[in-house]
Amino acid sequence: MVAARRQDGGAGAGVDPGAAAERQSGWEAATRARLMSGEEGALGAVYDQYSSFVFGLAQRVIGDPRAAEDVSQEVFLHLWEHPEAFDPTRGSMRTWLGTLTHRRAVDYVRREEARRRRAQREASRRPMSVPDVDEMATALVTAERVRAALDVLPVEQRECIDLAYFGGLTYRQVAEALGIPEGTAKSRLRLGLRRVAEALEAEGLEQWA
Amino acid sequence: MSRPHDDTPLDDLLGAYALDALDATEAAEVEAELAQRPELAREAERLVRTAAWLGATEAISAPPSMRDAVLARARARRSSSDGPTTAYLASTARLAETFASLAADDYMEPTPNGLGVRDLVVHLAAQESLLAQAVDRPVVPEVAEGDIDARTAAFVERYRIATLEEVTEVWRRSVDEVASWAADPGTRHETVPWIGLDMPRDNFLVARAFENWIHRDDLLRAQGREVEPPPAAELHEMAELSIRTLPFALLVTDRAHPGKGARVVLTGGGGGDWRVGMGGARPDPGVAPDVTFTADVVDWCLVAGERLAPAALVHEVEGARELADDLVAAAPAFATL
Repeated sequence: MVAARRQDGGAGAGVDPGAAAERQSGWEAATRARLMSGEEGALGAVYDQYSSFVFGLAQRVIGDPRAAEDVSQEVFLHLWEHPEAFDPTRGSMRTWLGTLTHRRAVDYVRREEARRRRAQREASRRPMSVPDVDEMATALVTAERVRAALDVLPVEQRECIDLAYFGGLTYRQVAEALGIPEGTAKSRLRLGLRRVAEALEAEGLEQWA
Repeated sequence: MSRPHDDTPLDDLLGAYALDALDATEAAEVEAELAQRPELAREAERLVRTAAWLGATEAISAPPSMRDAVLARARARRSSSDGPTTAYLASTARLAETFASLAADDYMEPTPNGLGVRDLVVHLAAQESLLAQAVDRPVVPEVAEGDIDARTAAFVERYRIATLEEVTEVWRRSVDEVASWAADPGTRHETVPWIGLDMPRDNFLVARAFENWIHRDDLLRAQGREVEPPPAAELHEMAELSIRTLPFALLVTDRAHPGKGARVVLTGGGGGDWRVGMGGARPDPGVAPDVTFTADVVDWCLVAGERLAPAALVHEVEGARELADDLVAAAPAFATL
């Protein structure tokens, strides 16, 4: 049933990015206000929209579903307790949640010293599983577009970003894992990420949320 | 800062910074630098946002139980110091479990409320949705009826052919609205228009918790199952409310004794020791009570909730017995609140 709803290559077909972005940012500002007044329904709505994203990212970085669930819960509870920390004028809720989730997940991995185990597994990418909840269609389209942006990267930059972002490694560990100088790892991360930024912006994705 | 301020070394760390691939010391250095250089900060922000998008390729369904866990923990964190809300939410959680356990052959069983099991659930949905309406968050705006008997009748008609799940869904959505209203600290000093009174928020929530307990017991008895009192902390909220409203109950049942006071001791987990003015006024704490009345806290609450006859309440009296009799006789007036 999951595959059946996949859209054939049509990443975002039929979506007007400008109008969608405007709707989304209005919703995000209103949601933040509702969270600040302690409205539980607002947390439920954010959860319904982003739980697959948050959990999927935490699970990818951590590798252990139980720990990924703990981290994901803490991310949503952080938003609940500190809705003021999310500033809709500086970015979308998705990027805010993504940043928070990644930091928490990386902290967890480093704390648990699980990185060596992970580094080997992360060398090869895992096939994506998709959510079967309401956000699935959006998640699929979004994933396609982000993947397309990643595909513009030369393989050596892509490799560095994967190890750092999904493997939770520092750039020094990336250099060590790939047998390259630290300076090279640093610049591959920066150049690669910049290139992805350009590709996402060309797609209108950052404002599309 | 140990690094030179030219454009290269620190700038080169921005990618690693955005990907959380720096150790804590380097990250702090980068952040200090960003605070000084707005154009670099803009670039960093752009890369941080980009990094957050990378995870979008990984979306997978969260475990189904996670949503409830997040919301339950969110509730607990907001209401840990809020006894009335805790009592209300806990009572609704237990009631929801009981609803889920009802089978079709329970539906027509009679309850002490006078309604069959199914209609009692409909009554509770009518009641809870009236609450949601009272706090300005209507769930069934089509039914404006404010008198609970008339509203119950309207609900019985409206949901005549609905499944019990549909009815309990209305109930659940109403609970969510009331919970969400109560989670706002700004409501702590609000009053709610309820049965013709402006009821303080805490009394309103505890009174609902009380009624949920009593009606859950009704359902359990109809199913032939054991009943159990709420946990001590919740019971204490209910006992406290029933005692605080006693002066009012004495007045409305025409049992006021101006100038007299009572000491009420309720024993068992959740009990306590209270002074009650019997003239409809506050007691003078310096004056010795005219009567000391002692009973079990659960039994007392059951009398207040009209599930135990006043005459059946086991209690001890020291002092003026007629005052004690009036206290017990007035207690069930609470059930109408």
